Amino acid sequence: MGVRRVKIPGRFSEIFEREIVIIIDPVPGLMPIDIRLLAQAGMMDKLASDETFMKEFEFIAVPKEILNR
Amino acid sequence: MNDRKLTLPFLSNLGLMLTYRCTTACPHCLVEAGPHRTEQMPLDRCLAWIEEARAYRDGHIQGIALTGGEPFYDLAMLSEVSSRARELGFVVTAVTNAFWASTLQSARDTLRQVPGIRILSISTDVYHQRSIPFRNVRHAIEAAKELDRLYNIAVCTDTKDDPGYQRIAAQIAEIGDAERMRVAMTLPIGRAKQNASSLTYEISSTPAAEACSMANWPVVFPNGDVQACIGPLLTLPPDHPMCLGNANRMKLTEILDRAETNPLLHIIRVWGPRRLVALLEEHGAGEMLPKEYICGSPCDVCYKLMSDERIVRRLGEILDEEEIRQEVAYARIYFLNELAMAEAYGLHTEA
Repeated sequence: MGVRRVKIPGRFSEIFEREIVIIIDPVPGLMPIDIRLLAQAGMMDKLASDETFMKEFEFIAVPKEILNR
Repeated sequence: MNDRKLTLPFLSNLGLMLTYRCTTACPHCLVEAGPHRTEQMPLDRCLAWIEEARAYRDGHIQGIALTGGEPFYDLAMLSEVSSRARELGFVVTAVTNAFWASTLQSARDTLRQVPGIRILSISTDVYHQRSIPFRNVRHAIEAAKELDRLYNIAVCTDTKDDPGYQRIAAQIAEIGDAERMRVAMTLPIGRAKQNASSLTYEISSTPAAEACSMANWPVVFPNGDVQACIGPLLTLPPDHPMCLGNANRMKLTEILDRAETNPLLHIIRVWGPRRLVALLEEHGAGEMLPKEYICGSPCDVCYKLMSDERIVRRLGEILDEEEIRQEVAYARIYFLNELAMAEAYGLHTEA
């Protein structure tokens, strides 16, 4: 699989750089998602070995000032 | 990176809401499931959607999450669906209220009939315990351990100060499973709407900062509707942007592909619904906005916005702006390392 190169225009990256990320868990209840269990079941291993699944973490972008409240 | 938690990529898990039937009609139930309900996913459609999911993007979908209602209500169907999904290589998960585990032996017998299910999420809380005692949960857990199934325990409450919640948390701790307990907030939606005055919330004029990672995983409903998440929006008529399409009218794979370019969905994934609130304010539509929100609940923000037709219409106009769509596409690359939207828009990506 080839590496893709992306140039994010400055007008956007300047905004994004002012934000940081916080991480949240999926909500339990009607959907039985539990990342730790899925990892135990080997699902994350399969994903991790697949180059197209490049992400292992949940990123939620939040302006820094919100976290500083 | 230490404080980051594992999660799965967009569209890597597909929910199937098998039935609205349930052995009990809990007062908090979002989908208003119960013994009186009759809607069930047709088995042939269900199996066809699983096959379609397997073929999607050469195996992109890794998990099938079976939900309801009570998926164990029709054990024969659950057995067939979970076995087929497992044969196709999916990690199969299911929610349950453990009604079938009144004795340890019945719990073992039931789980043996669904060997395809790898992970169970067992619901117990003050609502479920009105009709299903905690001993069922204990039996289900014991049987799951014996049969090498993974499990967690989902508890719903409006407040952790509730003595009923605290009693159940103590029961779970007593059997050594405190770490497997996951807590969700009861929202005044669905059947709980009738009892909203008895629910206790902290209220704020500021929308919750969190995003909803549940929007990573769409859910197919018995009538074919594909919802972007299994949250409160499923109680609304399916003309809001988080209802992705109907799999009886178009191919499931087309619906999933189309979801890649749904700007509202990805704003919720990247920034959370509070970003929609900010966009409305920036575009002079602040007077349309709710005056208060439940603290810490992005679902509440999302529901309040999507249940207002004027807001949905205005958001549609705002999100038609090319600059905003591009910002969302680039944000998905910047924050989530996801190229699909930028590629679909013909933005600057090159092999």
